[in-house]
Amino acid sequence: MIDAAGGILVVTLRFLVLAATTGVLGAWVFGRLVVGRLIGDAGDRHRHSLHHFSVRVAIWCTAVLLLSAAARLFAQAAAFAEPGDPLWPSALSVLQTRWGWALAAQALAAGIAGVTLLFGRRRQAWPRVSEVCVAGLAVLPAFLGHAAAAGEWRAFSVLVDIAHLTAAGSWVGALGLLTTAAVRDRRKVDGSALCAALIVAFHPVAVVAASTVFVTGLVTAWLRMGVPVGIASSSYSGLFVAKLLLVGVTAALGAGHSRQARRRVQAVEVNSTSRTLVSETLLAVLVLAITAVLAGTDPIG
Amino acid sequence: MDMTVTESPTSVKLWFSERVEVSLSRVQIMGPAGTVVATGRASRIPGENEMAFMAVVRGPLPVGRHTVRWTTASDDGHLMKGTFAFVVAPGQ
Repeated sequence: MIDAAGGILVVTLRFLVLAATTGVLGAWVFGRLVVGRLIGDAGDRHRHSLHHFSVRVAIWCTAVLLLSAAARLFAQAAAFAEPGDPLWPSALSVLQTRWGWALAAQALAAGIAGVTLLFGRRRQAWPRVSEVCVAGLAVLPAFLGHAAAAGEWRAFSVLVDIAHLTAAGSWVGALGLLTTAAVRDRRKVDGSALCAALIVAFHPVAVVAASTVFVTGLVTAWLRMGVPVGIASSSYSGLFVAKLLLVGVTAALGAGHSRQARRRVQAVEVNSTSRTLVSETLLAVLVLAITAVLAGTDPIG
Repeated sequence: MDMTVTESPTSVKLWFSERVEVSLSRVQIMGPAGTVVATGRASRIPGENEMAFMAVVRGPLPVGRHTVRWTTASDDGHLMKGTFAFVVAPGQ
């Protein structure tokens, strides 16, 4: 299955690109939409440090994305080069393809976002240039995979893919930052109140993003395989069902936190909440790993 | 079963069920003695869509079984490769 998806190196690079993109999108959503909506004393006290935390995570993720996208480009060029031949003619040919320039643009956008965030890290808001680059990072992956290669409904397929990645990145990425913040600060005096405030602020983002992930995921399945014809008849559909089940379990764990959010709790039992948040995040990372294999698997084969 | 031709082909043409990247496509022909036969760069087939490419065969092929090895990239960047064989038989 891994070999059919391009081999362990390509799948690992694809996972790193996906995870780093998710991290950057999630950091922006966390900084803008979660930290920006924090209420209560704990929220007020931690707003600045959480904003800077989101910027630091984004800087690290852009660095990983820059390196892994460049490595993917290099690996693609190497895969198409003749043994013993120099790499540059193959690299130039790769850059002439749609997915080649999308990979190069991904590395470039990550680099610019990382540099502007690094120089603007002491500001109280994300630099505008970095926000434009983050938007670009949400759009570019749609031009790297199955969506842009669709024989029919290509434009629709690309739009659905952009919506899917943006929603998934917002949900999983912001969840990762929230979990890290909650676990990191759980021993602080107001750790319980901060964890509750973060869950309440994250709740609307999670509901909208998770719903979008489900809807766009099902539309993608229909576009790639035809539903229900393709279900469970190929490696792709088997992986898709596994991903769907894992997303369902992740969402079920999130529903528990969602109930706390709807009650607008002022504090939570921070240790047990941290455990479920960590479980939810680890499941989401597993979903990303499956997606990295899925993206390299032939939907028809 | 291998296809048999009675004249040396002047080109090898490949058709696919999806769009392929010609700039990353290669064709290599191995002759009966295992030697590589010179072929030109992969190029579009005039009048065909982007789901096919061809390579010119330089010079006549000797009689015998030839293996064609091809590599290309799909529209989503995946490496695709394969082989097929044909036989050049003496002319009637």
